[in-house]
Amino acid sequence: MLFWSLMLGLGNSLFTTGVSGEFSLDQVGTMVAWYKFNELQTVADSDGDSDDEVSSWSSSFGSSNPITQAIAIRQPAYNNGHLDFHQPSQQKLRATANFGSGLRDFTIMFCIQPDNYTGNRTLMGDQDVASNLFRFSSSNTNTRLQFNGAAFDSVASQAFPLARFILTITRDTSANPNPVKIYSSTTEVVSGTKLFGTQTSLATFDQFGCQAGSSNLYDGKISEVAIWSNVLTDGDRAAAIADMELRTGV
Amino acid sequence: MKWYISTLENCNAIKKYQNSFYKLPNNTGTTDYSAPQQLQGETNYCLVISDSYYNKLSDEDKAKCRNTMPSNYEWVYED
Repeated sequence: MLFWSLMLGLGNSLFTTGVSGEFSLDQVGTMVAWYKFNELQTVADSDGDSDDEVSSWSSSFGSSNPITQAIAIRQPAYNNGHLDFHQPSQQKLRATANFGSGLRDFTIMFCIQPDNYTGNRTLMGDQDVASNLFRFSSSNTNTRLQFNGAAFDSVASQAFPLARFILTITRDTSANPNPVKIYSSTTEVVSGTKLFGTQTSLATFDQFGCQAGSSNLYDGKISEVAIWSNVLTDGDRAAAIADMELRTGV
Repeated sequence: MKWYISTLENCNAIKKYQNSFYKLPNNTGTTDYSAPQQLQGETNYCLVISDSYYNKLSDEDKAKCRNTMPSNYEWVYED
């Protein structure tokens, strides 16, 4: 039957949508949150400007732990499922609880499209702890991952693009020192070996688009975010990237 | 977009009127159009005003608005 379907061309969709149709990000690793593209978003024209904004985005996995913004001017614009953060308007979304109640080992996967890398552009932060963050540091190669009083500044081996892409950050505390790896799509562009030494402290993050308060804001689109409390295997990471790319139109 | 700069009391008064203009809070979780934020290193506060609502302000309040974002509106933390 499958043979005849393929011969007749009926199998095309099986293969072109196979990753999306049969694979799901929550089937791999230990997922803690999944802000899925164009799902569970509260969209309305809150500020009367005839464009829609997103006031809430719930996780498609586990407790909803919605990321919300009650102030209209600080709500990212809704753009066909993509959230468009406008830096001068101080736009950010904050969760009701820390992602994963704090993360030791982790894999954090974003689908993003930065508008620029001209300032410190924070993708992820902690409203209560200004020194917990991940950001692009005024450059399309430089990043900073920082928490628990330790910071890791890195220079990627290739520039991060302005086109939409998948960014993945992993931390593995089972090794000493705890290596952090950063991937641009499937390419490992940062492999940090000096980060955090032997410490196994929790990393707490609860918001996207901003460091604490209104500092070093992100400028650009966030389309999807998935967070696991472990380091995905190479195979699972590759499958997850392919799935997120397919869904978000990378 | 304009940036209204004044005391917290004045900013809260304008916030209230601007919310009424936009019929906020609404039923989708939005409570305010904007909220006063203390300017870094100052006692004054800043409130974002939409261009539409700006036209409703008195001349006295329009005079308290800037066309560009104050540099100390974004709070810059030490690394």
